Amino acid sequence: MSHLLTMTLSDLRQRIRDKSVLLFAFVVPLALMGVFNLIFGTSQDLDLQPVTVAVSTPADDPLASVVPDVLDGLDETDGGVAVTVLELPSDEVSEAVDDGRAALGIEVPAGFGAAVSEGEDVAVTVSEGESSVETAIALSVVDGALARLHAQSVTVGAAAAAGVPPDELEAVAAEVASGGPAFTVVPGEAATQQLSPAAALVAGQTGLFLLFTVSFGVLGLIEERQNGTLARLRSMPMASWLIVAAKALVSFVLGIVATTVLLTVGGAMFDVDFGSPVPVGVIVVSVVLAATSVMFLVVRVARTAEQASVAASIVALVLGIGGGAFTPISASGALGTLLDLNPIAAFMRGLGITSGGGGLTDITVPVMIMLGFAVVMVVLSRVIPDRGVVS
Amino acid sequence: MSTVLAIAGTELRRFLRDRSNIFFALILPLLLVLMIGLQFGEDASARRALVVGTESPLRADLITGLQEADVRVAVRDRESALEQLARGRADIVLVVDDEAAAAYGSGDVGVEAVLGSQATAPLVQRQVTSVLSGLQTREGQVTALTSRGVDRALAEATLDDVTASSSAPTLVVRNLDEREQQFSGMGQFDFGASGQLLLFTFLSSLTGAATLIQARRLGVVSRTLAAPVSAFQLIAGQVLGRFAIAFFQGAYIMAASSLLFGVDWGDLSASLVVLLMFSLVSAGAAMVVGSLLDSEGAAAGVGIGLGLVLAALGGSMSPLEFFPETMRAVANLTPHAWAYEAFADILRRGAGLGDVLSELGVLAGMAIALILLGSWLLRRSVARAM
Amino acid sequence: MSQPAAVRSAPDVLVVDGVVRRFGDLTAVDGVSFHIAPGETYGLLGPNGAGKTTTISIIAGLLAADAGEVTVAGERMGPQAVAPKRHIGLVPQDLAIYPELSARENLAFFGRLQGMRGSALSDRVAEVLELLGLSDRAKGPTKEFSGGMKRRLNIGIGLLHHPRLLILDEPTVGVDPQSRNAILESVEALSVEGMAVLYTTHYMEEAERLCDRIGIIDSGTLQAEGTRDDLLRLTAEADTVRLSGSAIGPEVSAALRALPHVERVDAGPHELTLLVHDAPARVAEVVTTASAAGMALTGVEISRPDLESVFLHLTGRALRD
Repeated sequence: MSHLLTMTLSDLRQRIRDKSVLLFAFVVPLALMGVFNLIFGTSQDLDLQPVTVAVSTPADDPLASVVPDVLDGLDETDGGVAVTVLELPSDEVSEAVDDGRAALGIEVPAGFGAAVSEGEDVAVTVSEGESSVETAIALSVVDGALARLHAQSVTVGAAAAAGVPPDELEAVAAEVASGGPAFTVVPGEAATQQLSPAAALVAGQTGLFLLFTVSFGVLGLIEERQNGTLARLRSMPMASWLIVAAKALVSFVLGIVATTVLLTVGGAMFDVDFGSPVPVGVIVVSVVLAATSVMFLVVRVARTAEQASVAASIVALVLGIGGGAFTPISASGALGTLLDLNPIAAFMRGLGITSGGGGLTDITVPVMIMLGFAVVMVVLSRVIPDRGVVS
Repeated sequence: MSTVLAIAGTELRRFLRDRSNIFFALILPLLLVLMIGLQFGEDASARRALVVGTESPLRADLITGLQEADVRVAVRDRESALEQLARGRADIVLVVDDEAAAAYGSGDVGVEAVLGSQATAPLVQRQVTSVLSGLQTREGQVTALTSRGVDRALAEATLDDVTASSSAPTLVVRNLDEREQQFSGMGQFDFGASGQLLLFTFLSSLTGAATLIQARRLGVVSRTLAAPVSAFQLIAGQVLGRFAIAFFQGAYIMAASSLLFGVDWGDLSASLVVLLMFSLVSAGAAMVVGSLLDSEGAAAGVGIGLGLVLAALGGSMSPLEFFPETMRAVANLTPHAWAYEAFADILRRGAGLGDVLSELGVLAGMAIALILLGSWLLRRSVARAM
Repeated sequence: MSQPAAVRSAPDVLVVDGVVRRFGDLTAVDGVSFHIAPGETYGLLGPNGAGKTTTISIIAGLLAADAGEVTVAGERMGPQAVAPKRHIGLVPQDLAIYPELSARENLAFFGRLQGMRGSALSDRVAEVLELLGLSDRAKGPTKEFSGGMKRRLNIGIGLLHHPRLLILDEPTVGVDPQSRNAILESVEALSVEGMAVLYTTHYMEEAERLCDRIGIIDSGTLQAEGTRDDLLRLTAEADTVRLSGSAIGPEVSAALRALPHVERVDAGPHELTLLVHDAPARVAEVVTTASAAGMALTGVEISRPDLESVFLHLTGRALRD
């Protein structure tokens, strides 16, 4: 036991000296969170900018004037974009986009109204500078308006064919334009264990970074060999597995510190509460154990420092992506089950449960997945032939 | 130049000499390919909606509409749907309750929607909204006829006939470079596979820093500099060797993910050139780190830190389009952002090599600056004790 | 395996018995046996690649032997063994120190792993620093040390815990003459203290100067063993003659081998090494024969029998780097 402690402390001391502990435990995680905070701010809403759209319509074409009208009607209230409409003659529209007066130019061609009424092909031309979310929203609104115009003309045509008197056709068109019965999306109540987007971001990045952190501690074994000190350690009166165990312990300590810092600071920055400390602590310890265990496999197969670090970053990215660190992967069936067994997925699921007020008994499944993963990794690393750095 | 090539050749030979590197260069990255394929491949189930509610015409029409918009739909009971959503296995849960089902065809319809927390969820929500507004329009059309005494079945049939024989006005988008394309909705801001490729390429290149530190410790650097070789040549040679490895790995992932999963990388030659330039920048960055730091441990820390922070800043973790304006400007300091932009042009806007020359130029400038900085730092590092 | 570790008459610190180690098709160590008594310095002399480092790795418990066994202070050594490792101090051929830690911290770290504690540890660390002449540099990180200082510290760590057997693997390779002399002197002092020393080298002068007994190893087997005088007797008083020059073709070696008093001929690129009985009387004949066979001579040197002649006698090859 004292051997283990001596080696772990000495290792940590060297890591403090070469500043890598500080980098891993504080600097990089805080920098990452800071970057995300700057990118996403405290709200998850897109910060949409007002845009100016240059529009040209043929004179005396009431159908064509629907385009500037819907754009004019847009404002930021319903998640849309505030649009300023710049009505121009058709030959100046693309010019306005070129010289930056407008972000988008829309030219409704002559004969538009007649073509729509007859159900004939007609194209509205759009000039776009740099495409952005704002211009895309404006375009989708115009697209919707065109679809409605088409629906009107179709309905009028159908009404005529079905024998509706001609004097009522105008009223039919007006009814369709006004939209008929309302079809609305009502926001529903999410399950309590669902992480908010901000919380999912913090948890996902924490999980991904953890995998890199633990790989670093275990990669210390390779440095030990390069220093020549591995041979000397193995000639010391102690069991040789202690050498690997000490590195794992360093990884473990670093992992716990980094994860705690990230969850705490990230939680504060994004105003996220992951729930009561005891179950969250159990989840953190389990995920760090799982992450550390996979690195044993890496040192078992990798022969050089280069191989080990490439393998470690692939493992970290694969588990991180698969666990939903960037964005959750939608999947079902066997693949979904496989993804569920990923310790990072279990980590996020566990945090979801605790953030919804879950206690120790509620997180049994994710914790068992993480610990089970750790056991499988350790057993695997004993079973596969050792060709790595420690042999 | 021959000196540079000799150093690069040695670096490559060292890599290829060890057979076990084949596993790490060819087999292991397949796992990453699998992940990229799952997310961005042809069959990627990137959009998934879960529908809750008993069988009804509204549910059926909603499901058909979503499927036509390439959203995968499954029917679940409420509890399991919400649980799947919480775990990120779906983007949205739609509840079609009995009241809504009954109102379909006779009045206002409200569909309850619960959004997942992933970045793609709002896009699916938009698709749901557009499907519903399609249903609404259709319902409006039918009502306009039935309220005038037309039989509902006849109204629907006549509407179908007229719709089939007429065409809708279209939006044609003309970019400033005069290429025209059909407006295709909001999907164009999907977060592409290129971000993850860039993240990995940069991270794996930075391992080269440890190799340089080792060479300095073993005195190989001092010995080489004692020969008539300049620090610039030495760094350029090392960069070239590391670059070849990084570029190969990246190209391999592109090829494998496109062959195995049908991931789209756009115009392949243009994409490869972007990857090539980006790999050069990565290798240059590795040499700067390797000259600046004296310990492999610290280099690994800085490498991972830089790799992740720059990737986050440069849009490799979330789409640049969603960045606020100031952050968008900051992002331009990272090579990731320029490569991302170039990939975005190639993938989404069908650009070719000629259209991304400005991005490539910036990347080349970054590579040269890093190599110069690296050689200056390496020259200074020889004076330090290790 | 071979015979059980028999109870020997003298309480040897190290007993190596029939040790074999293979790497794939290569047998690096092939049945090596020897023993070292307390206070004795034993030299393992052989060229690079002879199997010295593999032998030492087995003795220090870094590698498992495929056959045979090693006992240290009566306890069986192996990679999993713990107890016998208390009795050894290993000084690896390459430096084995932590560059980020100071000399004092390096010593204290390994001392603690050897089970030393408290004032016993700190006193001994101070003593060893003094012995190494590093007292005034004890606090700075060792990455700032000169090569010689690192070498000295590397040895100091090995003898910190008063091991009963100190294993030095080529401690003078790549060391400047001054540091080399300091290292040799400290090894001489150790045997006075009663420590058994196992010393590997491919420099015969070092083996001659330091070692009570010497084992000559080549191709993984121990060719001969004994005191310097024992070994010299093996050559039956043949002298070594070195002919330097160029144009050393096979016909030169053949012509010289045909001479009656010439026992061995080993051809290097610029030098011929011969074992010649009664060399002073025969050297003229040797030189004439070599010239006649086409060699362009630039120098002749006769030396009294030494370990190099022994090596040449035993293996037919000169002992070179």
